[in-house]
Amino acid sequence: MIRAVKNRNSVHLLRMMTCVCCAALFVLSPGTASAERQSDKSAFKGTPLSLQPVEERGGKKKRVAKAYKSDPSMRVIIEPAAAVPGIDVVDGVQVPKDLSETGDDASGDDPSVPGDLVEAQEDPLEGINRVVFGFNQVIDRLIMEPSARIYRAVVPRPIRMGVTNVLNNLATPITLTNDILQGNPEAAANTIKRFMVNSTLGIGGLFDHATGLGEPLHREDFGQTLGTWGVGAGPYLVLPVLGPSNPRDLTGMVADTAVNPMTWILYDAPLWQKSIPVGTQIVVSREAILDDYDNLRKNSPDLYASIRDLYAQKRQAEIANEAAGYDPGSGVNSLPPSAIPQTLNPY
Amino acid sequence: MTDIVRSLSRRLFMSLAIPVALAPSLAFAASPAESYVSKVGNGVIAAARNNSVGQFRSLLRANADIAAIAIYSLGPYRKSLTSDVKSEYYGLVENYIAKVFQQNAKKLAGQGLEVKDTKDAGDSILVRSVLNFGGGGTVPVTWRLVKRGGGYRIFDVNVDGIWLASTQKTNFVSVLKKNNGKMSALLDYLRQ
Repeated sequence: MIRAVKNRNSVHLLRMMTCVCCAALFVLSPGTASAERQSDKSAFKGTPLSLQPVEERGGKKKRVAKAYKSDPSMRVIIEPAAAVPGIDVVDGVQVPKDLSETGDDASGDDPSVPGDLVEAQEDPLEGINRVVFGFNQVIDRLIMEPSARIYRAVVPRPIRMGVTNVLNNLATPITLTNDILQGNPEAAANTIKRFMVNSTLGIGGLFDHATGLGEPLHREDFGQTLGTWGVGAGPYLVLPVLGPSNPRDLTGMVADTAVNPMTWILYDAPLWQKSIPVGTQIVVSREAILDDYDNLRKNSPDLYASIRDLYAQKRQAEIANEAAGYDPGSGVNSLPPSAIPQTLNPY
Repeated sequence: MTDIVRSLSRRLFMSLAIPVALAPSLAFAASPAESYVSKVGNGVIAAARNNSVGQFRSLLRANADIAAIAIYSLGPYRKSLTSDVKSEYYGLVENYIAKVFQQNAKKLAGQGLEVKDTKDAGDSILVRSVLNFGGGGTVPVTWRLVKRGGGYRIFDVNVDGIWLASTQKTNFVSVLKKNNGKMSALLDYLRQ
């Protein structure tokens, strides 16, 4: 009896082992379809899905270099691509060989076209803004642009650089206040060092020795500070004379004017004296962008839309304190000072 | 016992020493995307110094994803692009971008490009770099790459905070908007 049970158990055990072995053989042995794919892989010299060159470094370079050697006669389509002859496929995305062979579907769903990195600027007041923009263009043509051209023609370049340096030095309190409000001690230290060096060695800010000593210029304003605090830009605004703005940057402009010592030094001064720093700033800023603005006027099919787009992009990049697409908080190695001044620009 | 300790200490030394020895080379090895940008960036600087539209155009032909840029630039008017004008449109866009680069050649004629780092943006890869000019002047340049055919193609370039393809899209959409989405109007604009 016991022997019979033992025999039965051993038969069961044998059957189980046979089943496991068969299953293992079935899994491991290549079938007809997979054999074809295997031969395709061995012949493939294009872009196998298993090779991901993006993050690979050092030791994997040889494999990537091998993958770049393409042989048109050996080209294959890898799943899940549609079988269209003559078109390579990477991760299911069709890759055209040249311009004329780009896919026929130019619809918005084309997977090979990446999306926007720049946040679109809403412009619900476009009608009013365009009217103010037109007015600003007249002011620019009549007063600002001629003043800037005369300034460029009459004042030698080294002196113009000195004037720009002095204005940058005078803007230190605004930048420093906003460095602190943004919680960026590294940037605040840079601002203080720059002010100390340029006010002394640089003779009241005429020369920018600080940049040569490894302390590059950066500028912050309260509009940027609000941006770093998560305040949205709001609708696009074109201010008379002052140009492109938005509620966030307009608030920032008011706050920066309050922080600016010149506001209080010249508080009781006559209007013509108050106008000197503001007027100088406008002329210097307009001269700095003379060539760019000429190009923009010449090439832009819609100057209003181009300036709205450029302003939005520039402000987003400045708030991020980096070239676009990167995270904020990267310290003083941020964008160089904008060619378009934050508080007074001539658009 | 001594042998075991000696063997263990040798293994410990090897396990510590090899990573330490390899670390610097791994840390400074550029990713394929960074190497690609370095190569293309130097080509752009050379073309900018020569102020040559032809050189910019051949650089674009070899390295930019003109088709993707051209479609992106149409914004909401993508469906206006029909098969019969597609080939001509791509060619005109390529020429347009080459001219934009040539007009801005002065700004791109730096002394060298220093590649900083790479970031994956999901549908593309961002490679950050700095264009160095003489006298300590620098301009940040970010390259937006897309994966194509096992390598990379340039989709957009950000110079000093401004994305070129995005600016181009604003222009193209303005032309189409003024002309009720007529593709022929945009082609006329690009032919000028």
